[in-house]
This record gives sequence, structure tokens and C-alpha cells, in this order.
Amino acid sequence: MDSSAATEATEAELAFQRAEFLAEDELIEINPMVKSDVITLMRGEFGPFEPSITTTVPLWLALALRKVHRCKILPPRWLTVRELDRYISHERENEAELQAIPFYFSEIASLLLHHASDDLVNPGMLRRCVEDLSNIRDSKMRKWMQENVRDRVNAIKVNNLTLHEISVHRPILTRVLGNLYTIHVAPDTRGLSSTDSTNPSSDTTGASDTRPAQGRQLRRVIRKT
Amino acid sequence: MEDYFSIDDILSSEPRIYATFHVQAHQLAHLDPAGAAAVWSSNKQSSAEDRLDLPSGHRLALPFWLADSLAQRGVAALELPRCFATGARHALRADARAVRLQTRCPAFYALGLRIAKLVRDSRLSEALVRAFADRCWGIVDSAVFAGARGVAALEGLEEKERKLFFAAHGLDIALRRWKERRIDRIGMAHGVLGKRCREEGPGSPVTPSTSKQRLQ
Repeated sequence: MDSSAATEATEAELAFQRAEFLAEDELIEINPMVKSDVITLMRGEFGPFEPSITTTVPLWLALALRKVHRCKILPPRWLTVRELDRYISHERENEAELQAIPFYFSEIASLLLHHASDDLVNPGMLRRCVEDLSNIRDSKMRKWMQENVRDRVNAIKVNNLTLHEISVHRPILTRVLGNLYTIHVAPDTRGLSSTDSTNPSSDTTGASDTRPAQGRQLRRVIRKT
Repeated sequence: MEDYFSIDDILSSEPRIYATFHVQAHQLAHLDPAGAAAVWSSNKQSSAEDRLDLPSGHRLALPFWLADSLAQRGVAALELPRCFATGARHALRADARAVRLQTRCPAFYALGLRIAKLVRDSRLSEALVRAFADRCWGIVDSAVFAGARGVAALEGLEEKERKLFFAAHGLDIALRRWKERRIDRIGMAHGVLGKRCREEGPGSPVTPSTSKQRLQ
């Protein structure tokens, strides 16, 4: 029984690592400390590198250079206490939806805070703000998921999720909805066509009245998002 | 929907439910030897061949997979198990989270689904859906937040719910590991780790005998 939790854990962990790997392809600005020619990568050409002249490189390259103290990373514009505070207050004000934040928000913040915290201004405070923001979004998402399952809606549409949030919420939500679906659909499958099974106004008994009609479901989803 | 090779599905068809035979079942007395013998001995006209049969109208508990196929042939009538009866449904309706499904039936949803399919009872499946919808987020929350107490919550859970619990728990472990960036660190091997812990312990000298105990 323990092993199933362990498998889930490894799978989810791989998903997080994969997200981080993808995030490392994002571009970021650095101040190099060395002089170098243009570097040709599969992605394109980066450089030339002149000390103290700002240039743009992929995040993985920036982190690798940073590790050997060959550059100083300029944090992205959103990774400042002021900007994050703005995000947080905006997120708090708007209860009905998630705001758009960078797709690799958690990954980039985590990587920079861990590997290049010296280049950031007030990293302790930043760490707290990042955590706050993701907690607020998390609780919103959790609330919606619970509401939607309670109201027996089989689809949820949420915009502006980051990759990290997707890999956190998707396994559970799809599992819950999948279970609900198998329990809910099964009795009609034998002998009836699939269109009948989704239509509550067919000859099934009054108990199915609580199930919302297809149109109402859809409208609800649209209003929710 | 049932998977032929799934052990869980096989187990979910295992619970016994009561069936009543409409007909005299040929050569089936071995299903309930004592009960059949009692009926036949009270019946004076029974022949020796009859004694190998189950008498008509006899009620006995059969595993669901057998009762299911008998009922589909119209040979026997099934009784709804108590865990799906009206009383149990009322309990689920009142507060689904408080019901310990594990003690009622280890594969509650799977069996309920099969029965609902057999008797074409959409109310039963509706009750199951409602029960699961009411319970699922409590399970996820207990898996994520409760830590050690979550394991206690695991006891009342049915098999499908257990899987959900483990999924949520595993995900939470992974998330925490990722947040602490434990992947970046190179850990010590288990053997070394054990030794180090012991040496750091409060003044206990390392002797071969204790280290042997450790290993066991």
C-alpha cells in the first residue's frame, strides 16, 4: 500500500523536474564578467559577452555561468518585492479568476532563489511573497474544484494556470472526476446508447433530477471562469 | 468497464450476497450442503437424486460473481446487501463523511456499481455518486494536511478512496521534496547514514554487537 504512494510521488516529482527543465529554456538577462565571442547553440546565437554589458541568455546558461561566478543575473522584472506585492493584492481582490502570471513562475523563482539569491534584492522577503502568492492561488483553485464537484459539474475551465499548478492539481482533479464519471455513467451503459445515458430526461427515475442538464452545466462552467 | 485481469475487480466481485432460487437447482446442493440436507430430510417424497439438488425457494449467500450470472439467467432473485439498503443510503445522505465505508464493504463503489448495473437502479448509482462527491475532498485534504492523523483517516476508506488518498499523499510528498530542492542534493548511502546517526548519539559506544542489531 505504501508503494502506491511512492509511485505517485516519483511520478509527480518527475513532472516537477520536467517543468523545471522546460523553464530553464526561458530567456533571462545577465551581466557577464568575462569577455567572450558569440556562442552558437541549437536555440540560436547568444552573445557576444562583454563585461558589464547586459545580454540575454537562456536560464540554464545563466545559472551555469553564475555557478562559476562568470556573470551576475539580473532578475526578471516580476521577481521584485514591489511587483509581487502588486500581484498578491490583485490576486486577493479578484476572487473570481486567476490573474496571468508567468507560465514558469514557480520554477524560475525557485531556481533563482536557490542558485542566485545573492543577485536578488531582499531574497527572504521575495521567498515569502512567492510562497504567499502561490498559496492564495492554490486555495482559490482548491475552492473551485470543491465547488464544482459538489455541484456535480463534469468539467472545470480555469485560465492562467502555471505549469507548476497544473502538475499539482491535475492528477487529483482528473482522478476525482474520473471516479465520479465511472460511478455515474455505469448503470445506463448496458443496452442503452451513450446519448441516452447523458440525457437525464430519459425514462430514469426521479432521482436524476438533481443532476444538472447539459446546457446548465456548460453555462455554469463559463460563468465560473 | 471491468477489467478482466484486474485483481481489484476480481476482489470486488467476491462479497457474498443473498440469493433465492426460483427453481430446483440441479446438482447444486454442494453450495449449501447443510441447508439443502435439512430441507430434503423434512420432505418425505425426496429421492436420492433430489438430494444432490438445491430445493426451489432456498435462500443462501453466494459470491456476487455467481449470484450475478444466476440472476441474469433468471434462475435466482438477489437481495440488496445491507450496505446499499435504504438505511445505509440515509446514513450516506445525512453525512457521507462520517460513514466508515471500509467496514460496510471493502469495495463499496465497485460492488455498488455492479449491482446498480444488474438491477438497473439509477437511484443507487446516484446515491453512490453523491457519497463520493461528498467524501472525496475530505479525503484529499486529510491526505495532504493531516500528516500522521491522515493514516488514521485511512481506516474508514474504501478501496477506490484509498487510491485517491495515496495519489494525493504521494503528490504532496513530491511537492514538498521539490520545494526543499532535495533533488539537487547528493544524499549519503543508507548504510553510511545509519552509522553516522549512531556515532552522533549520546555517548553510546559502537560495539560489533549493537551494529549487528542495527542491521537486523
